Amino acid sequence: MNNTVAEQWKGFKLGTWCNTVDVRDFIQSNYTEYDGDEEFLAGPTAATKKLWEMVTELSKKEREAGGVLDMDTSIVSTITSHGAGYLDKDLEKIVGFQTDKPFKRSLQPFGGIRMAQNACRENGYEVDPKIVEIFTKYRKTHNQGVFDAYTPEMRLARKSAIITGLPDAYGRGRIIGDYRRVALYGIDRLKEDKQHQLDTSLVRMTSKNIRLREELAEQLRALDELAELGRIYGCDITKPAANAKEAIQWLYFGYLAAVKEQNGAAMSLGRTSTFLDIYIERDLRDGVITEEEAQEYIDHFIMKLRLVKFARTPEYNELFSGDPTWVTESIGGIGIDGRPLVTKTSFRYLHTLDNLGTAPEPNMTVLWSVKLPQKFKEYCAKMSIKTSSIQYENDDLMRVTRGDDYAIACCVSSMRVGKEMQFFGARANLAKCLLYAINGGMDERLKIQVGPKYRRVEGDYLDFDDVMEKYDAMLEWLAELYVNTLNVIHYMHDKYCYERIQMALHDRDVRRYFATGIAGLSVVADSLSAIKYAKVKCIRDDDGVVVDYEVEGDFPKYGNNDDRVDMLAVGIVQSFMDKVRKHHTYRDSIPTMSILTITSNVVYGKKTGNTPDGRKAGVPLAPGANPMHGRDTHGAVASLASVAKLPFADAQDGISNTFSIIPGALGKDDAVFAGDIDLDALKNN
Amino acid sequence: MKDDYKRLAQMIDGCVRRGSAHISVTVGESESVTDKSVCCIEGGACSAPTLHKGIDD
Repeated sequence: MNNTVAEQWKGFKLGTWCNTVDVRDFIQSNYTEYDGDEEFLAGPTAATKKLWEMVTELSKKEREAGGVLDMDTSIVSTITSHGAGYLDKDLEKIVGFQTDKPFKRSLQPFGGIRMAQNACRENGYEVDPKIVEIFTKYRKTHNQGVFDAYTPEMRLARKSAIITGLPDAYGRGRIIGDYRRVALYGIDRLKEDKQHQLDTSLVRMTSKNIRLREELAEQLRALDELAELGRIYGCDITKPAANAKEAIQWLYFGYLAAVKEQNGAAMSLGRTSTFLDIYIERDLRDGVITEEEAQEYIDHFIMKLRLVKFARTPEYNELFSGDPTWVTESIGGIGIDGRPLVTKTSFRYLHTLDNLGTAPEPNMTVLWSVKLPQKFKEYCAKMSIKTSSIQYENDDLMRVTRGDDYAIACCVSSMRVGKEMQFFGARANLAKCLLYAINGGMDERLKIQVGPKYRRVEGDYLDFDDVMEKYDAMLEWLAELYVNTLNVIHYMHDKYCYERIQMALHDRDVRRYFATGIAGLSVVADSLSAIKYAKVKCIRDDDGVVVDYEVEGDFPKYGNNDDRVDMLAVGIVQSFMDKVRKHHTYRDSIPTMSILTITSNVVYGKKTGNTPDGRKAGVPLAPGANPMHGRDTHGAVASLASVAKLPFADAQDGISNTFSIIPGALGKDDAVFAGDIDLDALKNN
Repeated sequence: MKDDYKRLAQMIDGCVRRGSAHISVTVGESESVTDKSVCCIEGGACSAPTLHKGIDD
């Protein structure tokens, strides 16, 4: 890369970041820790108030229109597809929308034309027939590619929902471009670096090397288009940002380019506040801006992030009760040298919840460490109580494996920004798999053979050893099918819906994670516990399919810090991850697994029949690693202790037992969490 | 209120020390600390089921 020191870097401490793309080094060399309180923060400016009033009014109109105000039906969204769009050009300090006006949803057919058509049709619009023709006759989509390669077995597993959450009809998301690079280096230097990567890539034309070279060429093209996006809004982003306003704007253009081309369920932003603080501090120090202006820039930036929208189908919106985009921004955390990464701009980001009001987007996630400055902790707590809009992630846990420049995609998936990416993994329903083990691969709900036709259980009562043997075999089948299905999806996504701008803002040699996920863990643990410690009688239908269960006697339930059942859960996690590891993963990615908070427990529950723990068909599964609702009768600490036994080494994409801490309980139950409970002692009681 | 902030910060510290990965705070009147997943209740990006069913199947 060009070794000259850019004039825009004046006042920054120079380092290796000047000669190589290394944003972390820039941050570590230049950021200013802040351990004070929030007294310095400024309220909204008149421009901010006016703009937010306009947003509020448009939001109201959108709701009145049934959820969508306007949709593009004839312009395929690309980085440069639209002219400039504004709320009020004279008032906006940070500019840029996905289309030529706010609240107009873009047309993104590369993931799947039928999804795009459905999204339009269900909202009262029709995609231009010419576009439909192009994307059915002449330009293949990710969705078409996937269904060309799916085996009948994969289609059946999709239909029965033993594997679900498959991103096979839209963007997979979960890839965080290092948008900070645009501000720090400008497009010209990034292109120079990317060109060097291409020039030094292997020329022995294996499939792998050809693909890499093609992708790097695509990335270069995307960088050119990103520069053009800047020009559309009157900005020359080929050069590094010269001040705080430009830094925010350049960075936002990078993100905007990503959401103009990709509509993944989670299009996360990264970890930007401490980076941007360096520019703001410089401008404040130089007397170029005031605190009011600094906050105004951040307010307008956050306002733009709140207005990121995608065209979704009604089933998607019904599921979410809204329109989430999961623009996750990771804030704070501790450096590996022990210095907190909290800056004044960490406060400024959270302060937007005051200046603009409460909102779920962007998803502000504080990387919490017990070593964070006390005043920042208390400010976070204050804003949490006030807004319920802050998530917390355990930085002390993540930092060990991800270092100090990682960010969260969606809610818990951590990755080093610009150096690691994730192939999003959908989920395997382990509760349903247990029912398949009992019924020899027969789907208990659809009454069709989905899994392999292994021997069914026989007799009136379930035998633990017999069920475990059958379950192990069925998990082997599921793990292989699951990994192969994901391999198809990610191959086709790379081929037909490649995240070229996001990957342009990564290093060439990225580490790839192959995320997998499981659902229904607590149902499985409780079911196996019931079979082992109580008596479970099978109820069969006329075809001999076990469709219900009668539990005779009591049994230990997951979530009560009882090893008898907790270790069954541990065993399942280890066993399934071991089975996943046996299989080839796309692009030699590293398999990981999540047992998250989320995992469509309601949707999965609807697709899962009666289970041997006494749960009835259709009842939601417990979310993620949580115990089934109402079964953790020994309090929150015991529940947490059960979850804490699950091995992180086998679930590195995240284990989450999400605690909602109700401020109404403050001063009552807080001693439970106050840090002096001995879990080992509790376990022995 | 200031005491509440300190207490809540202390509670989050406690959760983090015990290995809880993801913590949400909800404003409410409930008298007890719960362990329900807010992400789940409100719908997280990970909650997306396989879409486009019925057309591709």
